[in-house]
Amino acid sequence: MNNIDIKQTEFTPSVLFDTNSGVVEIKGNSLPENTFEFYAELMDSLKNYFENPKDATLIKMEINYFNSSSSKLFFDLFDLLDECKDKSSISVQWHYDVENESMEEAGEDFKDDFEDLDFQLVKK
Amino acid sequence: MNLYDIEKELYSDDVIFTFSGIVSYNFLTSTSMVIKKDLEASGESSKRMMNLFGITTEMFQNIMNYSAKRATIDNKTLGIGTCVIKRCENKEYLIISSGNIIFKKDEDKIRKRLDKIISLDKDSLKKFYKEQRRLGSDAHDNGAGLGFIEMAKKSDEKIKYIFDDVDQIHSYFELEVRI
Repeated sequence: MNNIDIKQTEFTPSVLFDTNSGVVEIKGNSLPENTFEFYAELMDSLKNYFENPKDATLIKMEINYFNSSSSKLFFDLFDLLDECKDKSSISVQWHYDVENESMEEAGEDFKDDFEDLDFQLVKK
Repeated sequence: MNLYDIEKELYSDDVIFTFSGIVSYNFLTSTSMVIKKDLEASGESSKRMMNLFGITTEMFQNIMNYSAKRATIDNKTLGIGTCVIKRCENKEYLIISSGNIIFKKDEDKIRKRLDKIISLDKDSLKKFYKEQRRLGSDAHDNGAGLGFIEMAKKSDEKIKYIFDDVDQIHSYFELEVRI
């Protein structure tokens, strides 16, 4: 399976997916020109990965700002994880800066929406 | 009018930003960031300016994706529209407005969505946002349905809008958000 290594830019996050360790990291601002295209590779790889996943899967997100289409995309991502939670022990870590109230609130909202996921809010 | 007079009108103590033209992705991201940093440098709180950044980027994206007046650049079609940011009422508020031409047939859809958003208080707005995100009706529509709610969430006051007649098939859609 192919790993993903997309570098961070001012308005798009770095996206790392190490399929051998089952770790996904998304870090930075999420305001892509076309959000669904930008994340398509990750979503496709994850769908493939869950055909034969590792025992544990970690999704680590550290977002400073995201736009409304990224909000929808992240929802779809968590929805996919929710569907696959019986195939692997999945943890989501939502890292946020203490001073970034809107990212704290966004994390809480996602956590509420996905009660059955192990969704951890991690303060920086 | 000479250019200096025009400049004083379009960029002053009260008028922070004026733009009319083609909106591309690179333009909208970098311009929104410059406006944010400019106002932060003049003493605005970074939390308020993050909201401003969120609102201007959503507005510009609406123009880019949905304006009925378009230009084709490098095989991409980009919307044309207008955005103005002003200080008002003893500099207490920033008024962020955007405008673009739309097709009259889309007026009802936009009106219905905005009236619904305007009718909601902050808590109901948050619920509505989560509900709409779950519905996913906009998954292939660049998420614009959430954009209006996002702007309303970031604003201290109700958002305002008007439609003006342009011709038989077009209207001009103007949106105003205060922070």
